[in-house]
Amino acid sequence: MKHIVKIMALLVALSAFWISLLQTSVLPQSYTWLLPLYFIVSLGCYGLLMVGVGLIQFPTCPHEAILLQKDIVEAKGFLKEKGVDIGSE
Amino acid sequence: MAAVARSGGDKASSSYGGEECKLRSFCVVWWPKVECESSRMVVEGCARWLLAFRCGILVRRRWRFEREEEEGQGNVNFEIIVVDDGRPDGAQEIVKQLQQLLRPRPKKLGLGTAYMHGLKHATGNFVVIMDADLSHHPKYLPSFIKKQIETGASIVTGTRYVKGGGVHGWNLMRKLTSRGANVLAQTLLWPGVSDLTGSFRLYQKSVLEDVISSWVSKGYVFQMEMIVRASRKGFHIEEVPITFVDSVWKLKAGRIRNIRGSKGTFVPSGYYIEVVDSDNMELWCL
Repeated sequence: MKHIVKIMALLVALSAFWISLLQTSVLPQSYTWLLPLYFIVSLGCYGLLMVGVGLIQFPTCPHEAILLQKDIVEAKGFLKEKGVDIGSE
Repeated sequence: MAAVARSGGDKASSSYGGEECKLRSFCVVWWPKVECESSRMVVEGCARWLLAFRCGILVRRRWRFEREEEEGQGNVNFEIIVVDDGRPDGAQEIVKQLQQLLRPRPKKLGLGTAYMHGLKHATGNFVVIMDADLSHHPKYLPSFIKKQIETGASIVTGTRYVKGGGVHGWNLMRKLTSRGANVLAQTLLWPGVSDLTGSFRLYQKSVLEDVISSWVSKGYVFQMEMIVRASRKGFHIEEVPITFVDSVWKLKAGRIRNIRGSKGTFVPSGYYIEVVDSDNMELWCL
């Protein structure tokens, strides 16, 4: 099914859960009314956390840059032997 | 200018996994971000890789399939289609030196046009799209091909965010925006791939045509759109870690501000390299 339908279904399920909580008064009413707010805030915090974690764990490869430079030099030499003049910048 | 290199000659067959498997052909699209030096390096890079495959002159272990090391033979079929957008950057001379047939095409090509042109002339079964400024290193091409052969995937995408992959040359802001965009897109779109904005990918040709025919976005976000659409349509997508070394040419050329600052005027040129036959190499121009 289309993605938007999936998202809507999820939202509908969450709303139904929230309304049922309101009706049955399992939790005190004041808390229940604020639940959506808590949900949105925690979603935002989760997003920020994932961004932060991702930033910290961002894989870097400085050695690859060195290898690349070596490859470039070697490639130029190789092609020059074969008669291809790459020229230089 | 667009140049197509096609290698004629007999098609070799390859043994992989101990059995004869039909050789596929691969077409590589290289997408440079800067002018001049990168175009030369593209053609040089692709020629070098292909020569290494073809005659085994350069024994670069890391550029070959592991199996082929044992067998001692590079045996992937390829042809090169180099599509340039007509900028006077010396790529033509290089191409001329590498081969002799050229038919220049003076018009500037946009991204979609370049893709369609490359696809029209590609005769292979698979297309690889990559950046041509060597931020995408050709040494990963064998791992893409290997993954495709192993899993039979329709799309193999390179990811920079897993172990074994990585980036270099990105400052904190760039990392932040990349991470932020990815988290947002993952939350909203559930795409099933870890790197949405990467552009180093191998597609089955039919899949690429299908996805291109349905894209609607303009600009670089089309990369994200392509992979999300492909995932929605249920194509089998696999991932391969790649490393991304940025700014090799930008820093040297010193043009980064001009290119980044211009509003939509920078039209990159695309290169298509098709892997068909490893025996000979011919270059001709569209």
